[in-house]
Amino acid sequence: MSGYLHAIGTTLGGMVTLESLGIKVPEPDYAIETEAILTAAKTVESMGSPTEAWHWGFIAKAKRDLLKTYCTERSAYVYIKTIDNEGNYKVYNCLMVWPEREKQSNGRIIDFTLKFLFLVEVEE
Amino acid sequence: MPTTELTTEQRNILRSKNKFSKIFMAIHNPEQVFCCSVTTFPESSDKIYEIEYDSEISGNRDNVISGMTCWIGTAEGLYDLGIVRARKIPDATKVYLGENSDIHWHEFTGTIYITIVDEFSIWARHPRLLADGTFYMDYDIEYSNQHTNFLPVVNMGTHAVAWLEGSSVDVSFDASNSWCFVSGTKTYLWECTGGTIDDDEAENPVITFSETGTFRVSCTVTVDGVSRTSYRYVFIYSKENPPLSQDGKMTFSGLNGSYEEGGWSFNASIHKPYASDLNVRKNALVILFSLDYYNNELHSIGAETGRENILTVGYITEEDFYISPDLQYSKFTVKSANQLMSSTQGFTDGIESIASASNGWTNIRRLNVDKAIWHLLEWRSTCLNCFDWYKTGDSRQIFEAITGEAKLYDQISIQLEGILAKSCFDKYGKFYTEIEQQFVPVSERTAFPEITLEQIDIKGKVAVKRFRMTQNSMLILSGVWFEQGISPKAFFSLSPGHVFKRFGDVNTIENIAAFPTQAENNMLAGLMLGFHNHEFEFEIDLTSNNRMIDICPRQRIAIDITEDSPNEAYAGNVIVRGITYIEDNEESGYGYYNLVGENETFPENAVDGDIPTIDDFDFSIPNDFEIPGMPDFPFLFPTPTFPPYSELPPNGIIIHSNNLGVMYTENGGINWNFMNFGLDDDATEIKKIIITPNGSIWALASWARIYRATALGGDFELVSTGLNYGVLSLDFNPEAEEEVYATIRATPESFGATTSLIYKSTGGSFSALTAVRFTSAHNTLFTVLPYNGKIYWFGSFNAAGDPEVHVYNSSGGYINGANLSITPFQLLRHHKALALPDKIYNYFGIGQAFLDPDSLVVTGDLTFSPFGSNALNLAQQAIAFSPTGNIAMGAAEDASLPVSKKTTDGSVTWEDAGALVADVANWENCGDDFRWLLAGGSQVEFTFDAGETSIDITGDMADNAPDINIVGIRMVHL
Repeated sequence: MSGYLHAIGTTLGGMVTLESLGIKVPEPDYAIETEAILTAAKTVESMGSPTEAWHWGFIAKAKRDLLKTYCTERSAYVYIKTIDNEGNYKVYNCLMVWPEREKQSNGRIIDFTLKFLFLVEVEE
Repeated sequence: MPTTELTTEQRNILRSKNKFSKIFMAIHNPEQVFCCSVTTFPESSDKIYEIEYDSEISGNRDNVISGMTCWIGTAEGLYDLGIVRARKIPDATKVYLGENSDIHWHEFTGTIYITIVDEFSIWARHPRLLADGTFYMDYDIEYSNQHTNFLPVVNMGTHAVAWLEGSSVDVSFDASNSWCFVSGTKTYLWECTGGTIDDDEAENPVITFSETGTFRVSCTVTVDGVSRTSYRYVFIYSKENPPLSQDGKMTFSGLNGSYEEGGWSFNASIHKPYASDLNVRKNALVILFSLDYYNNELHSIGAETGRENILTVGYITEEDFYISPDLQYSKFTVKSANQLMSSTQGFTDGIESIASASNGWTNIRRLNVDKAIWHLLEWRSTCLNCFDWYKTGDSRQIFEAITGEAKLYDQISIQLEGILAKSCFDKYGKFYTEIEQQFVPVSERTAFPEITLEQIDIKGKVAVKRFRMTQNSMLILSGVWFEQGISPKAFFSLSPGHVFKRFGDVNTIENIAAFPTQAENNMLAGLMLGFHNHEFEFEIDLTSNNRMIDICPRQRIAIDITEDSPNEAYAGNVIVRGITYIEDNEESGYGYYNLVGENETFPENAVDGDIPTIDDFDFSIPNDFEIPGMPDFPFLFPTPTFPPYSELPPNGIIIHSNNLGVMYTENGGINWNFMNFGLDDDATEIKKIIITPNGSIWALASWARIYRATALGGDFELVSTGLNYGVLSLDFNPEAEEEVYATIRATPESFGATTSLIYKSTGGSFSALTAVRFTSAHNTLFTVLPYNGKIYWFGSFNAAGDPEVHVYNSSGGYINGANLSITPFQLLRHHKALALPDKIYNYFGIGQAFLDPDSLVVTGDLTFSPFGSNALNLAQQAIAFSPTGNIAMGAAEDASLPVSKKTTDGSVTWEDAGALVADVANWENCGDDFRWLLAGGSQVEFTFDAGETSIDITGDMADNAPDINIVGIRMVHL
């Protein structure tokens, strides 16, 4: 896929596209809510922050290392540009969570998923 | 006190979708202020209160503030040998410590370092009693006037946490809730170790910070020349210098507020290397705060303006270390200051109430619970350095406040229990001492904020526990009402009455500080039984993190669950007793509050209680108020007569002054309030007040205008402007509900004034009754007195004209009159005629006379007897007779001071009334031969033994209007 706009950065102005990093487009997994609650008024309300996950079936170790620079510890606040369920690209400030385990094979990471929590949409 | 009512905008925000919060934690890591080294140590480690040091290592000792924390360590900045308190600013040779025995000074060798850091914590301040009886506080503070010149309580709000996102960030403070037992204008002075204060003398300044860090903010409040400073900290973070957050460095759980426990608490874990001995330091200040998002919008909603982002404020109380090869973290508990206070041991505390100004650490004039707690917080601890305190406001006096050696929090609780109050810290760490809100009369509960929860605000179902049987079948309440200088009075109340309710235990509550009236105590008993028999207990999950709801101060949550459960319906208020923050999914950031509480309760029936043992009970009530144990069952025989109420002052009293206007009390002089509305500039020009039998209050002002209020505490309305030439007298007919007479000049005042009219009012405007007949044109001082169905007019002025008396019937028809030839001349003083059973008494400073009206009416020849040898004072109410007319109390002039006089033979002879208060020139009889009120200057006294003794009933007037100059006093039947 070409022309995808997924991007990441530690600052809003410093975001770069994954494409420019040579990282292929991830499979996004955007959720508009983390919880749905039933109120006493018999309505269901979305609660919690939207979340996003970028999943790659595999990713080269070098590309993985590029992504690691945005999250040197277990988690870090970053800016990302990603696509929502309506197909719209939006920019978010969020907590990037590095996976607990990484399965390496032949210089690649298999089933690599980056989670993004507490998505707060910001103006680009 | 901050509001906790929700605005529509706040309610809409809380109902937003996609609510979530990022939670952070700030731990105070204090800056070093001063460090010195010590190489010579005391031989004993007992009672250490100062240490000589060798050299200054760092910092500036002049920057040390009394109350700061001292770390004792083997190196600068360490506290491995202990932590104590800086008692005073160090001098060139010594560091002054809070007296302690827990540092091993006598075992030290080498060099020890004392590092004083910028932190204020909770410490006990111990008293010291010398063998000669000299009593010091905090080792060397002698008593001077600390219990009369009360230090203000600085309520400057809580600590603050803010984010620096641009070049600067503003943090506001508000000290308007500061208060003092002494009235006066509050002034403020703010200081900050960083940042710029927009107005350092403002009540609510804004401080602008342009860098990250921790900054100390101090506020000094001065009232009546007495100052007190309190301290808070501001934590400024940025993305570059962030606080601990839930991004792998910190976790928290169990955030819970409990009214029963008196505060908030939570557990936290910090992963190494973020936890160190410094930032997980014992008793360190911790603030849990958040960034809250509502549908992608950043808001924070909370009860404290500018601190809405704070979840709770507390101190580290317990810590567990988990050290393993793969995971190291520190787990600790943070609790409100109640936990520190509950662990802070204090020596015995004892304060007694006295009638006069306090003269030592062990007494306070007109002691009440608030004053006793203030003493503990201010002088027996350092609490008021650290947090706001909101007092109960309860003015009931207590005889003494004594606690044994106990924890500070327990010492406070012991005082509060006597008035059925309790202490509690809100989420912001502010200290509230409040009477249980379910014990507050229903009519007064509108003062408590109310938050309405609609069904959209509630997550899932409301869990309700319903009690189908009452828990208490009867409540027996006993207590003692105490007022300084008055014999204490025991009260007994029963709720619901002498017969048990069908179910439940008998609950006996003893030794409370009772209210002054039986009705109030009965109401309290009913309220207590209602509370103990509350029918519902609720558990409610909110859909949001509504931080407007707290365990204190008092508030009510309105719910309606009738729709869902018609058979288990409840629509009304819930009193929240516990709040828990629930985060079901840490990755969601969605947190909501769970509330538990009971339904608002209302008073059950209550009646006068029975006195336990008729024969044995000592009605005199000993000073230690030992109340006989209550029986387990009610007495089913008639209630015996109680000690004579006549020993108590009347509830309703009104005074007027020439500098502060009119004040009144409805509880016998405990609380005094101003009653000047409608009087405007005439408030300080009141010449006479009369009370008609129906309770209306009439005031003659400036010899010109007449005002009327329909009841005590009401507004005055102008009734008459005196026809421009002045009103010279005002009196009423005691036989009618409201029939008032005034003498109003119809011509300008001069020696040649010739026309005067008697006016009459029955509640509204005056109408002319009759013109007065003059014999002498020189009579210009008039008074008119209704008496036995007739109207007596008196006129006099000076030697040029004889005093004269004219009598009219009630319709104004003339009956008789006479001139009085008196040598020396007598002045039948206007507005100073008293109607006695068999005579009219007129008094004046030069000489007195009484008139026999019967003689006047029948013969036209007045019986007239002067009493020139007992010149009484000129005050408007210098004499008051009992209803019999035989006994009177008065104030005679002696040099410039009044001297109390008494007659028991209808004013034939007078004698000194005893050692009553000097400078009290106004008397008022209270309806029998024994009780009088006396007032003058700033004193209000009451005698129930015809002047043998008197007691001070100035009450809170002494605090609220200490400079008042009283010139008249009246009893008002309530």
